Amino acid sequence: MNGSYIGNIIVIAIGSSLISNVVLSQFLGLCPFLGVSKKVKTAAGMGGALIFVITLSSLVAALIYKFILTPLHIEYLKTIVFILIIAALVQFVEFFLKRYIKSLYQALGVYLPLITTNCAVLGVAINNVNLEYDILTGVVNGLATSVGFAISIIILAGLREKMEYNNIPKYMKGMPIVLVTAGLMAIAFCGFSGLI
Amino acid sequence: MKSCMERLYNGLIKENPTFVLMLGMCPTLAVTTSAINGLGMGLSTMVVLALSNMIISALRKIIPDKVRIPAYIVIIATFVTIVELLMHAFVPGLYSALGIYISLIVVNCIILGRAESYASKNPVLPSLFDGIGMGLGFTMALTIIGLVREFLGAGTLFGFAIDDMTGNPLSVVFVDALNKAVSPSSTGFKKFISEVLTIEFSSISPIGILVMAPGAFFVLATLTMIQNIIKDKGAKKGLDTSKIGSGCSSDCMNCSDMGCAHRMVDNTVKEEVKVENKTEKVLEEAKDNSSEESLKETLKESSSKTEITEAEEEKETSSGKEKEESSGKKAKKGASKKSKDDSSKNKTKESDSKDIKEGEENIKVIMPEEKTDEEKASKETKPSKDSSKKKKKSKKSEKAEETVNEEAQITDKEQLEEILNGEADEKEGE
Repeated sequence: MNGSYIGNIIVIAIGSSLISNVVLSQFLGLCPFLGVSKKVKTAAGMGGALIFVITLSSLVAALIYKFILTPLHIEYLKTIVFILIIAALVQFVEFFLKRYIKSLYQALGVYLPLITTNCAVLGVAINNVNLEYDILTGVVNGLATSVGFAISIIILAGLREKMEYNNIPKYMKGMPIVLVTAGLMAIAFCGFSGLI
Repeated sequence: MKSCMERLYNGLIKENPTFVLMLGMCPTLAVTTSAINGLGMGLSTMVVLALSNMIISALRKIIPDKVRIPAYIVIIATFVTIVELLMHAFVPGLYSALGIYISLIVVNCIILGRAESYASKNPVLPSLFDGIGMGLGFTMALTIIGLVREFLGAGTLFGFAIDDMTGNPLSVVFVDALNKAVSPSSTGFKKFISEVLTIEFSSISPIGILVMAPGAFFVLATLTMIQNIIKDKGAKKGLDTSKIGSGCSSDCMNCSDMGCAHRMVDNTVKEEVKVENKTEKVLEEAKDNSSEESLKETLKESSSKTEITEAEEEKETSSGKEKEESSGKKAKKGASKKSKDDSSKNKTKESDSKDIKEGEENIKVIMPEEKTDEEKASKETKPSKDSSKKKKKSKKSEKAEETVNEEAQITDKEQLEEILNGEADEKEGE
């Protein structure tokens, strides 16, 4: 591991958490982003659960891709394999937490079923393969992506809590105003592109 | 063949996945930066949707209920892989433009939603047409959104600049026309106006943000706002608007029967979960036909009072079902488990024997069992609005069963046709 390798990883981490934010510029995981962002507390729970699952799944997916799919030359099966891995992994994580780590399960348990078919999870796994990241880089990318998701969903939830009592035009109430807020957030996140 | 055309109409207009149901918004936002991308994405989704619907429908009696979701996902992922490889080989430009979103067709809510709510219960041909209809609806929506974004954001349509044959942009063409209309010799106010307009139009430039990421959110915001307006206007006219925007735009934490959340939870062998999912299945099935049925209901009530008794009968049975449904959700392990088992058996019985009346009788038999404390609970928690909704839903499930044995229900079908035509007329009238 030389300096440039670590530098590269840091660049990837900043890039995928802030610059090409998973929700605001890639539109992955939009459903929970809009659906679970009414309160900061639930938003934080969702963000935490997603960090947990995406990091774990990007590790498992990278391992399986490297040690099973590549030697057998069946890389083209990655979509099928990854989606099944993620589904099984989420089930397993839920079971494991329920059985052994009660406190964590109480904090994240509700959100785990919502994550199973979240496109962000599959998106990160496939992105890692398409961009030819090695295992460590892939895991860092997964972590950074999900942290980016957590940041944006918590910010949106905070804004929505504030907006609750605002006087909003009749037809803009509900989803439209949330989407406008998300759009303005996306503009703000565009500003990060000067970071690298 | 009539039912096939009905499926196409349903997917394109009545339950348009993007404009009405608001499903699968991730690809909708991500790839609609240009019309051609939207068209490509829509068509590839349509191929996957139609083929997977067909195969799932063909295998619906072979796939065990417990592992049906993973089985569906494998089938869908297979077709996605096929489409991906074909696009990589034959349309590499589009392939690289769509990128990761082709693989992500697997997790598109629409596909698994249709598999679960339609293809797993209906014969092959209607399922195929359902897939094609839904896919066409999706394609249409994506292309329209893409056209708008591309036109406003980049000033082009399908990649072609809007200009005259010599390559001048639209604004220049307009200014030329203006100059020709106003003769150079004219003075005073006319000249002033022409000068102002010339400056205005020659400085037009596309709204670049619309093809960037934030623009997608603004476009979707506009779309949901239009939905809100239509919903409001429709509610005033007494039309059923419950389906509009009922997809992922609502609260995820209460999103129990619309697919996303509970799609894969039921791999577990737990009896409870299984029963719950069966209830959801029926609910979903019910939702499918809700707009038709509610329209039918309103028409019935308004047009002829002689049919009141029939409607009342329906309500009776539906309220029975409602209780059954609510109990299926709320019941805990203890005393109600038996009744739950009974109800799940009922449902399989209903679908197997295709005999609605038998099913209704069974429900009536169960009713007294469940009219215990749960009834109170359900009444307290659910306001009247909800219960009326549920009544509609449960009637839909009857309707869904009716579609299974279509031939026996020709009269109902004719009625339905009439109502559909009526609806179309109404729309035209508006």
